[in-house]
Amino acid sequence: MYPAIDIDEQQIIQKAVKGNQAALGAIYEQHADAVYRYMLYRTGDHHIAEDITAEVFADMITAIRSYRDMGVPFRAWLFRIARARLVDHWRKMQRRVEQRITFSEDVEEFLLGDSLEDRHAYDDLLEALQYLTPAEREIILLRYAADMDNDDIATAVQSNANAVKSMMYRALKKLRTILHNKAKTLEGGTNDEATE
Amino acid sequence: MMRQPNNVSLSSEDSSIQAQLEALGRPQLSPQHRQRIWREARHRAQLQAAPKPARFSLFRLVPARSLAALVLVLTLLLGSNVTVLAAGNSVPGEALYPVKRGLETMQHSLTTAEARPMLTLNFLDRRVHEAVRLVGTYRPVPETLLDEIALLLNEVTVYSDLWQQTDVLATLSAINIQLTVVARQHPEVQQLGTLAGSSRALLTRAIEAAGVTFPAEDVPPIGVSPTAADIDITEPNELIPKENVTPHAPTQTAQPPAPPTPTATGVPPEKTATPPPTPTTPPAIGEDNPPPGLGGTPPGQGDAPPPGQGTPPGQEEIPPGQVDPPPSQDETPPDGEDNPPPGQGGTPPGQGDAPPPGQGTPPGQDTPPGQDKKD
Repeated sequence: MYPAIDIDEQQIIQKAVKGNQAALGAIYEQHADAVYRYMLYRTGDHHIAEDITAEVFADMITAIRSYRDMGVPFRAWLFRIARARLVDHWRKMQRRVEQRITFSEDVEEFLLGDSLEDRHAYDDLLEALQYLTPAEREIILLRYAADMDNDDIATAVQSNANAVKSMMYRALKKLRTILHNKAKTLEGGTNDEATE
Repeated sequence: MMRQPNNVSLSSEDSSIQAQLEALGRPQLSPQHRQRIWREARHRAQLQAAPKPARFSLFRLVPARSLAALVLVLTLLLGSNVTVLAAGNSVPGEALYPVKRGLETMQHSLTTAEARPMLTLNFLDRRVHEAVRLVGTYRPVPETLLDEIALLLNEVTVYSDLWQQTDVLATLSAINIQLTVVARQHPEVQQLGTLAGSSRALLTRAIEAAGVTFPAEDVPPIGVSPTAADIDITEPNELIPKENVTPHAPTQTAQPPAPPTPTATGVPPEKTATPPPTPTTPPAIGEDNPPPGLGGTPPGQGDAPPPGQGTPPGQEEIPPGQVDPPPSQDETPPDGEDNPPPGQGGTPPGQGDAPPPGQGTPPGQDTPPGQDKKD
């Protein structure tokens, strides 16, 4: 499920550059969910994610006056701001490296929905994400939580598309291995219980 | 128009993971949350756009490069001043002594010919103080320093014009004392006496001729080593001001005021033609020596002038309007006002009643101008 590309996006951005408040609101509506999800996956806290999201869009309102269409997708430009604000947050928290994030009940409920069956199905996946490196986890989240393709991700993380593609491949493979091993461990435990 | 799925090539198992990730919850913000975040973002953007109160910054007043240059210049100036000050107290063998000598060389080259004698005296004073400090701290006195002192002494004797100045004489007197102290304590610096013997003799004569005296007890006797406290290791005399240059050398201004010397001639006494007065301490004012105008013998009737300030030999005191006795009657003056009673002073012994043998009365001073002798 990918969001539709608004064919009038460039026009809206041009209006926003000129200070049109409605255009700014439209841009916010279009990107708010992606930024918020990304922040929630990276921080694991609603309040922090909300605060950083507000900071990102405040910066967007200030900086969009100097925005020029240089071929960089607007979402990639926006996520550059988002990553910078996230780094600021970690610096304030005196955390240089993102530590393992544990999602609280309400965050899991928000991310996975109310259905108890869905939550059980995706709990292992959320846990496996914590075993990835920060870079791998970031591109996975940018890809699946922020709905960005490899080119946009490469622009946002200031890399190239091939490197992003390779890292994405390795990250997915690692996730599969983690989930496979966990399933095997669980099966072994179940067989042992049945044998006993 | 929908965005195409990710173009990452995946195996079937990876595709299932990808499907799981894609199916991962994509929650959307509630309208309340969405509005709250947007309101907060706009508020923060307004705060960012608002002009911040200007903070005081020196860089705003002065360009950064100018400020850096200013700081550099100040650092160099202050640092050099500190170095110069520290070098001023250095003695031979210390790290900053070459700096001190370099500055002196520069000072010497920048000084005019008129001011050079005083500068030479100043340098001599510094060298002597350096020697005294070395001696006082039990360090060897370099040969070169002794040679320099001898050369400077020779040079100072050339500038005899300076010796007419009281402050210069006081400095020379202090230098003389210190040289004596150094030479007596350390045999190795006895060569000062030979190297600069003639110069010091001239110096001593000039000091004594000018009447600049110093107490003899300030100079330790031979064989008695003065302690470091006895040696004045204070800063060199800078000659300006010279009111109290050194306690060793009381100047003429420190002596009690001399009573007016009644001279019939009005000719001031000549210094150069007189032998040096005996350097003795001025008599204390007391019962035996009443101050002028407070009793005792009235002026003109036998007051004893302070030593060194009385009538020089050959210029006997003659009250105004009275006749100089003939030379043949010096021994037996006639009775009268000119003949003071015994014990009431008169001319001090050896200072005028009879000229020293072989000297006689200097020509032109036996008879005041306009007053003929009575035959």
